[in-house]
Amino acid sequence: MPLTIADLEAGVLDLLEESRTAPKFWTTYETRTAIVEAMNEATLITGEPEVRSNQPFTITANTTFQNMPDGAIALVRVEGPNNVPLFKTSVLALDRSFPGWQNTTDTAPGFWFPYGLTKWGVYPQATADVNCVLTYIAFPVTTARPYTGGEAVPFQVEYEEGLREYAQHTCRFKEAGLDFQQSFPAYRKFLSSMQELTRFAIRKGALRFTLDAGTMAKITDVKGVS
Amino acid sequence: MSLIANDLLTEISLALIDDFVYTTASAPIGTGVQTVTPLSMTGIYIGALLIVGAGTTREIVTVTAVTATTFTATFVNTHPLGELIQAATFAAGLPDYQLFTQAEMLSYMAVIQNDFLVKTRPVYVVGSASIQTSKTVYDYPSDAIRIERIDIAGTKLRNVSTPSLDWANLSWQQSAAAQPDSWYTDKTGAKKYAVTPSPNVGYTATLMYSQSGPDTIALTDTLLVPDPMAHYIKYGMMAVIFGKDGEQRDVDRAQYCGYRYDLGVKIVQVFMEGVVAAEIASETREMLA
Repeated sequence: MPLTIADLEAGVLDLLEESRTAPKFWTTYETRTAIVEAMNEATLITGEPEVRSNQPFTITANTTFQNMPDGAIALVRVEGPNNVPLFKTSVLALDRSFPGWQNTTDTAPGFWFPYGLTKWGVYPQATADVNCVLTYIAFPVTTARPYTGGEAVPFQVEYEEGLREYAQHTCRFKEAGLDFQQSFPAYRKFLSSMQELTRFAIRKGALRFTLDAGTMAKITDVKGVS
Repeated sequence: MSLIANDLLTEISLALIDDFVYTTASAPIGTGVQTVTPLSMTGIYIGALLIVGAGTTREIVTVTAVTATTFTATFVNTHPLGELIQAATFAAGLPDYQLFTQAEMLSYMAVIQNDFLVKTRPVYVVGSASIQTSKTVYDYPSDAIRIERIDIAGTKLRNVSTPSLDWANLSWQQSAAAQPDSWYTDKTGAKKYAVTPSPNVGYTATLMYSQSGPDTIALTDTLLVPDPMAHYIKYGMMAVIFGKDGEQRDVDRAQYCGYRYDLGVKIVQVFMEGVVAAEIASETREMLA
């Protein structure tokens, strides 16, 4: 049975030394929002979850640019008629390879290209609507706030501990001072887990995370302040 | 489902351990000036902006009067009994000196979102521009960070520079009018671009550009930044909030939030390069033949 946010929340409350049923200092809004934030950060670092949509997407005829489907951050694969994949390209590559490409039409596109995170394009334009299957990196959670706790956690089990550590670290932010500073190892543990899990993110190009991206901010020892 | 500005402000309220409004109306609300009795008056004060309702009847109202149990505001829509009333209002410090205002927080959000969009450029637009006879210089679209590509009827214009135009032909600005085949942005003025040769007739150009956010954000506005990246906006805002002079100044948490924001920018930059890999235009100017 897949995990839910409520399942992770129980572990987060334990790490915060809060009652699982009647927390006092943190609300369920805070803990669940922190868990979703952890999942969002995990998605951006590792490129998971990757979802092959079970709903066909219709490429609009005579149109180059298409809107991203709801809940998709970035496309990774487009399959046209008979599930034949379209080649991934870019606007720059099309300009260099096929001058005037925007005016070309055919029964079905042979190429697709990303256009930021909200649109994508096809070449050539299709002369009639074409159904395709999209595979994309998905939003971990698509429901609006406040979260109910019933939302599924769309990650493999190896993510769980990192997500709990991130969430407890985020929740402790409002404690400030030493109480917050002492949660820094939890955030490091999350980053370290995600770094390891990016090694599983094959065929996503240069999506690799390194802790060299930044060093932890220097924290003044509160006790040392006179 | 996209986050709205109030969602981020609510998170910040919680980080500040500040009350926020999350209650319901105890009776139906009519249109016009209405006095409303919510189940809780926590966080409601004169001048506060409140979000009332959801869906098509959702509206933002400004509180004009309060009592211990009621507030008064002007409503455009009717709302039923039990309608949701919410907003992060940052009431801490009132009535003596409010530490933060909603307008201040929303201004930080607009600035930080635009800073994030400039650094990561995750959203692009396909727009159009009217190229007019004999006119060479045009304003950027108001929401453009950087124009990446221009074409006329599918024919791409070369992205050049005035030095390269000078090298090719010192008298290029006196060239006979024709369909423009090149565009440039240097020496045209702030956020302007120019086409050359001077247009002989009018054309419709297609512009591809990275999009910036609005200069002002309302409580119910969705962010231009995709939801999975929205928490970086929060950290950028909190770096400002905890770094500014005042009772809530916390240098350590300001520094931490700045680090989280900068790391978030790098994470998204790597994501855009590694996963999206959406080259729209060359980073170098195209040389004229």
